[in-house]
Amino acid sequence: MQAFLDSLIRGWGHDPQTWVWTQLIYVAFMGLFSFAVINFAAVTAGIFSWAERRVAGRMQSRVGPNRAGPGGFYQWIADAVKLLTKEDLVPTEADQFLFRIAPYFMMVGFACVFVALPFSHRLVIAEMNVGVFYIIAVTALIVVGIIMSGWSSNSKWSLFGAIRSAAQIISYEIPAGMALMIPVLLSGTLSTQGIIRAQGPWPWEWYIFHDPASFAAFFIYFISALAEGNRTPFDLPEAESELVSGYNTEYSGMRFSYFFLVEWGNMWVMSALATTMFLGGWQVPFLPVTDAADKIAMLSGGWTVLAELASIAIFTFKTLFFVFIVMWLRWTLPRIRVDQMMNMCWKYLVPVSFAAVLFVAGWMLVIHAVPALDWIMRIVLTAGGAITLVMFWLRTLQNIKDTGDKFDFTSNW
Amino acid sequence: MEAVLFYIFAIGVVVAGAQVVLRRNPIYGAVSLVACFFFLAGIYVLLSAHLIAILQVMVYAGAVMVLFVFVIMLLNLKEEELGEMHVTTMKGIGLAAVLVLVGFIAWKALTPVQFARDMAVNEQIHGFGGVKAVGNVLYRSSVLPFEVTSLLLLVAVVSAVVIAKGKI
Amino acid sequence: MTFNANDLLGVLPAIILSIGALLLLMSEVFLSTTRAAAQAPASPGERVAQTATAPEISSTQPDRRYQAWLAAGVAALGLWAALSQLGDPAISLFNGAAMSDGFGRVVAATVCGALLISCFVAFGYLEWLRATRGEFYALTLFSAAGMCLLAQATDLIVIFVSLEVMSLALYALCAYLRRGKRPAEAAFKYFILGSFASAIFLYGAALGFGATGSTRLADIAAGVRLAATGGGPGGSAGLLFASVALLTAGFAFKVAAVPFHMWVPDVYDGAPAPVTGFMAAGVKAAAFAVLVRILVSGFGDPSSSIGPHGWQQIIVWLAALTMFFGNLLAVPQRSVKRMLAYSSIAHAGYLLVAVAAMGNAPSRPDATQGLLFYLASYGATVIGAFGVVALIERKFALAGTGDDLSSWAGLSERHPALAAAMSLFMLSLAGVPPTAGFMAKLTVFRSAIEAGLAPLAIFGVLTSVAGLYYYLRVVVYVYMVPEGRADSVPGGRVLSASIALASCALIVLWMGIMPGSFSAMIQSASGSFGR
Repeated sequence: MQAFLDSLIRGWGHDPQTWVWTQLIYVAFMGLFSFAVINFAAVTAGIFSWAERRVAGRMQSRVGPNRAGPGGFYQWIADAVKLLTKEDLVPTEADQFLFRIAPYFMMVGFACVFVALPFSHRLVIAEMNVGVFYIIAVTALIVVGIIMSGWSSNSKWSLFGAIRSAAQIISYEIPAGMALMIPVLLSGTLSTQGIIRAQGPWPWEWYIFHDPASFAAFFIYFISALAEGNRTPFDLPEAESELVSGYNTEYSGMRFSYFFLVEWGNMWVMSALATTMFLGGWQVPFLPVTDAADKIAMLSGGWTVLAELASIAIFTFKTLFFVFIVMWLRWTLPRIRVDQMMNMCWKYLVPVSFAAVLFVAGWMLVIHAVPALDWIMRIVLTAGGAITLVMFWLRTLQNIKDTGDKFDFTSNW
Repeated sequence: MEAVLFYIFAIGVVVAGAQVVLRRNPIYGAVSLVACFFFLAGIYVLLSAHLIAILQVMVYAGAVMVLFVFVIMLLNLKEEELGEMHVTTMKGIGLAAVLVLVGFIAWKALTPVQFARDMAVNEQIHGFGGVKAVGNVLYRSSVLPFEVTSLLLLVAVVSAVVIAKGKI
Repeated sequence: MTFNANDLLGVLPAIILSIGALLLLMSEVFLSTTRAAAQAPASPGERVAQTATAPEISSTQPDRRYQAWLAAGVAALGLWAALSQLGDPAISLFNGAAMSDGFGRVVAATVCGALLISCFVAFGYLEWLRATRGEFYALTLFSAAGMCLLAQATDLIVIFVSLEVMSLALYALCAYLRRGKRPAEAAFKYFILGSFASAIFLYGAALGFGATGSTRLADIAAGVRLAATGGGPGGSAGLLFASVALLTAGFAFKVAAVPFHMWVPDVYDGAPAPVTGFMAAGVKAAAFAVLVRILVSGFGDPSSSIGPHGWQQIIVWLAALTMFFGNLLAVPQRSVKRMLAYSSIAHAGYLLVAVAAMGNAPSRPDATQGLLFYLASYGATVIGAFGVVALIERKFALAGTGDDLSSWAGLSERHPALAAAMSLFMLSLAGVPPTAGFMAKLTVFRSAIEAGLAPLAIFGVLTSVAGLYYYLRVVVYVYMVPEGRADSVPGGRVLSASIALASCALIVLWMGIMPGSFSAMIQSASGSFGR
């Protein structure tokens, strides 16, 4: 980002090293970028809240919000306005200061992630050499916010929800972190852009199909991310049948909306991270970008813009696909029990993720010695993945045919 | 700008650190400690030790402090259980000793110190503060403390088990 | 930049001890819990326990007796490793993070020897209480590994980490027998004050790093030299002074010097007696070794104002205070364990005399020898003394109460050998001629006089005369006071304890009567006190 701003200042005819306003420009653009990022996060979260209800409606053969705007799309704006204008209640017995400040902790932890998340070949706010660690680290603020909100509410439901949530997030951070270490291991960098550059545009160049362990790591990461985001089937912290609403029980109005903003926004974060780490990110076919050669930068004129837009589209498509899967899971799977949740993490995911890291480290030595194995393994895994997808698709078509269900875009809308 | 940021972070560290000690409510103490760690991470960033800054947040603010707060929350101390605040002579002497020591060190440290091994040299090492640089130090010149730390963690785990286990 | 096999060989004792501990921990996994109930005969301890206090004792524990022998074997291996390298030249390990020199090897040997004997003491004690658990010996081995590393460390980070390895294991060992409030209190006090001491040490280390830009003692020494010549960075002299003061304070906690001694009586009293013995011998050896290393290798530059002449004053006053208060406070104690705790404070004072004598370069070799001799002799004596206490204490440990002088009455009639051993250890602690304690005090005070610290030496002699009173009182109770209570019988399973006590007594006598052979060994080693 600094390089971009420096070039901008040079474009205005000043030397960024000596110009007095340089620092001010930096600060101004930091503010601008933060504003853009927070708005992006808020708007996507809002749209997801609508999309989630539509998906739920479709899956449960009901309608969902369909009054405001085309397909009920404006519903999320209406909801936002409603939440903003609601009375901001603070319980008398609550710890006033912590109660008020807790949602901001969550918002900060959530918004900070976008700083290191890439959107396209060039579009990333800060390309950090510790990007992945940074993302894991700032997510920690969300736990702090949850704990603070739960404790300060002075309500047993909130406290139970917060304790469950803290236990869940802390536990699942371990398999998630270990799974993310595998792409780091393979690419030799912690930078998110660097990891994408180390992959390629085609599926067999993605890390998910690199070897069996990284294939497993992708799923470990995905499951753990679901748990970290308190999404079903891991939504124990807010299990409404047991805990009213968990840590956000006592909140109302805008502060309440922050919790949901974070939850829906987190779907983008986890999906984008999965795309970045395992699925080749924004890489455009036929225009591979590696550390050695940047095919997109080599283009000229309008083609650059076109390639850039293509990379944004590809990245967004992959991410939204996973967002859809997360919603799909929510409306398909039942909630698991606390003991099952803990068992799953400590008895299965943690050992498997450690084994996967060791396997990948060993596999890297193997393919270093026999490079041909690398390609054989990638092709085999990609072919396996493709066959599975095709079979899944056929089976789904068959099911739809058998039940007589059909895609109906008229009555429901 | 770096100087401004430094003073913001430094004042934050000092204020939050003082809060940890002075607050009667343990939850506030723990939350202040989290804040203190964040400001400290900011100072690390200013020193261009990025990895350390991130690890500071990830390990301390993210994992260790959450467990602390977790335990404190489970104990759930009430205000009345904390007892009266007593000001005793010993506390006064302790405070005076701390002030004298801190004052002495601050007075000494405020005179410009030129380091025996110039710290600025570190900046010139390629990728200082990054993963590779830290890894090189950790696994080469500091390999002994690194390995002994793993021993330390094991001992801590075993000790905790011994203390927590049923009666012997 | 990197390290090789030689580096690993240099810290061999610590590696052996760690591997032994890991083996012990792993062996716990493979123990079957089913077969034990039928074949294990009810031990005397259990019989007494059932009649007396009825503690919760599970009778379905597997047979863990092999663990003591395994631990002892590992300790012996470590001792051999330390001794086998004794005459080798000093080498710097891991790019200056540690040092394999005669000084460190002798301390490591002392620690391993103490561990070896403590294993025998602990065996009978734990079996009698039916409290043998794999973690006990593993933790003692870990703690000893920390001590060995501490003796060899020449980097403040390594010192801190090994200090914590040693201390954490000991905190847990103090609370090992959780009967009654006292062990928990002991462990808690030790933990809180120990952590506080560690924090002070870290603060000192941070200031030292701030002033010199390195945590290696060699680099700190360079910084001190630079500061002394005045050509060095401005302000660093003051920081170094604060640093050495805080570092010394941190270790004064660990060695139990007087303003920092509060924890000692309660901890020594509350911990199981075999642990106390090991703690007294091992922690003292390791903490003094590292204190000497920091002061001499790090801040020992003779030309510097903050060098020897600065810290020597601190140490002299610490030593005087420690000797005075340690002996004074030991006098009114009725519990032998508490008395030994205060006596351990007093002995820290005598050892500090040797450290003070190291401030002057000419007397340094003699003082080093004196220190090492004192550490070894004190270790053998105190483990022996606590070994006897362990035999007496067993039944009190079940009830969770302390011992009292009255339970020692008439010991000579029931167990003449035990009484004789205890008397020997008491005489050695008091510093009466044919014992190791006398020779140790002699060498230390001689080096102090050599260093021009005659007043301190005279003060030390006076306080040790005062110490005679409370040591001899135990002997008086053992031999001259008639037996008061019929139930004060040390229980069975004394074989392993007998081995331990006999070897302690032999070492004490050997070091007392033929100090030459022992000091020759130390001399060959301490000549190579690496920088």
